[in-house]
Amino acid sequence: MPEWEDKRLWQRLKEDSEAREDFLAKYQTFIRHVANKACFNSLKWGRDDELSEALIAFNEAIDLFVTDKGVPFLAYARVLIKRRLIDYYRRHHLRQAAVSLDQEDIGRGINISLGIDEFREQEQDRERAEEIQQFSKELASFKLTFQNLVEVSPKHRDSRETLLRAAQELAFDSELWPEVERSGRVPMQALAMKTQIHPKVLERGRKYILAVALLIANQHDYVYLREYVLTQETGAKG
Amino acid sequence: MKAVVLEKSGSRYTVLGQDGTFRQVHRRLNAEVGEEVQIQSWIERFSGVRIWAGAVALFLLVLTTILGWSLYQAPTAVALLSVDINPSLQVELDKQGNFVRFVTQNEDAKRMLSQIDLKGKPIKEVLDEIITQAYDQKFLSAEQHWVVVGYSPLTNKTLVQMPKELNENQIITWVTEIGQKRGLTPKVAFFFLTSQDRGLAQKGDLTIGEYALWRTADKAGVVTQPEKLKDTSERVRLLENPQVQVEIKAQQKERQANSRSYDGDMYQQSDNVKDSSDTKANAKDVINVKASESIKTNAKDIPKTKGTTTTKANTNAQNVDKQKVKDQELYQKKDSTKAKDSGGKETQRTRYDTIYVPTHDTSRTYKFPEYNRDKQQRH
Repeated sequence: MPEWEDKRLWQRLKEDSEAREDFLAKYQTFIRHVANKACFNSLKWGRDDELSEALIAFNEAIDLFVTDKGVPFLAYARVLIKRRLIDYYRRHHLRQAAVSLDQEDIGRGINISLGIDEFREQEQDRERAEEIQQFSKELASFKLTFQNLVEVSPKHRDSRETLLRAAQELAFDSELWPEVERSGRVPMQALAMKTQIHPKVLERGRKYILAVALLIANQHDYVYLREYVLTQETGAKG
Repeated sequence: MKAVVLEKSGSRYTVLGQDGTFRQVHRRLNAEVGEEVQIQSWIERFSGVRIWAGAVALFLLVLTTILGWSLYQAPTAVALLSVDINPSLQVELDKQGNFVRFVTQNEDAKRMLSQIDLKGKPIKEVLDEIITQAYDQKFLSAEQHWVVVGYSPLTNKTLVQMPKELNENQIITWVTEIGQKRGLTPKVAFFFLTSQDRGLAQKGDLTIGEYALWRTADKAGVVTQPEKLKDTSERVRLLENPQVQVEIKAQQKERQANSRSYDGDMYQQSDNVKDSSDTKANAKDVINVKASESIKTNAKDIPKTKGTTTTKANTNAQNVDKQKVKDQELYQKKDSTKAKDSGGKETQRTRYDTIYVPTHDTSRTYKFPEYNRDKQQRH
């Protein structure tokens, strides 16, 4: 179970300032990643005010988040961070060129204190669509399409679980995944050694493993999509 | 199962399912990319109501197939009925007493019934058609008013299976009524044969009515050749022979004695010979003959049976001997005349004479000749 679905943990985050500090520290990478994407720039802690704005938005997200709404916390936090940054740019007329994907939102009059109830399906669909668009581009860089994935997607449950496990091992491996990103190839021998799955099985599911590993490894980009390929145990891990 | 729409292409969505599979599904709702939709995996698709609906559909399919097959199956013949007027024919009946098919037909019967479809018709209508056609085509008249009816079950069980109304009296009544509608008072000779006797009749290429009449005459001591029974005049001669009628009465008594042991009405019969003038009953002009089931069916046993019945008819022994001599002389004359007419060619009858050895004083074996019924000329 992802930690944001654990009610007791969430309650502790809201009441215990120390636990909140730890949580904020843990998700600094996520906050920076979202801010970077929104600003089209590489931001640094202690140097760029945008990161402070993003951190404030993330902290607000903790206060406003309600666990039983069926919304992933990170997705909600991501939206809040983006809106906060847009508002920040509007107020300071800074870096117009850096106004990002949410530029169209400027005209709507953004309410940065977006409540969880307002974070409705339409908003989620839009977020998902953005993830899908990004996923499609990433697949294309590996010369893959959704149609390819439909063709190679394992039909049998056992095969699927085996390949999902291999994809998770690949995505979470600190040596193998950087190699994939660098070379654009799945290191089959090393993965077979690590997972103890027969190389033929891995080879048959190569495209599927790569696509799933992309979703799992880029945890900050695919908040929604990775939930479809992660088991609950690994979800908590990610 | 939840799935997110990844791509829209034509009438299909590419989705990522909750189980981690990429698949294509038909577009039903107008969902956009990024929207979550509900899809059904094959397990869900065939669960619950669908399984029950499928089971019911399968059951109905099997039921329909079985019913259709049983209806499609050709009706099974359970009894054989022969009618000899001339024309002569044998038909098979199913357990409802409906016509199944012709077993044998002589040339006259073929001509007479060539335009008539009797398939599936009840026995009453079949008899009506046969009698009416025979009357219309002058086969049945005031001069030739004998109708020989033979009846035999095709298995031992079929007597029980046959409808109750399809018994001897009923058939006789029908034939009589049909004749009376045409202003005739037909005399019906009804013969009942067991399945074993029927086999002997078939072996001799006789209808079951002809075979039963021949055997009855033989028991009465009236010597004749089996194949002559195909001749209408020969049948009439036998049926009107006093010795034959005595034998018929004797057999009738024996049959009645046996029939008392049966519960069914099939064997409850009236007197087997009645004068057409002494009663108003439908069956009054009937000579009603049944070969008892107790009669030995093997052809080898015929002489023994004959010996017994001849003993019963000892009171008329002298008359019987005289009749035999007269019959032999008469047939020899007829044969010689036919041989002359045919320019010295061997006729059917003369050929049979070489096979048939009418020795009545010792144990005899009747051998039926191989005979093509269709080639037989009726008189």
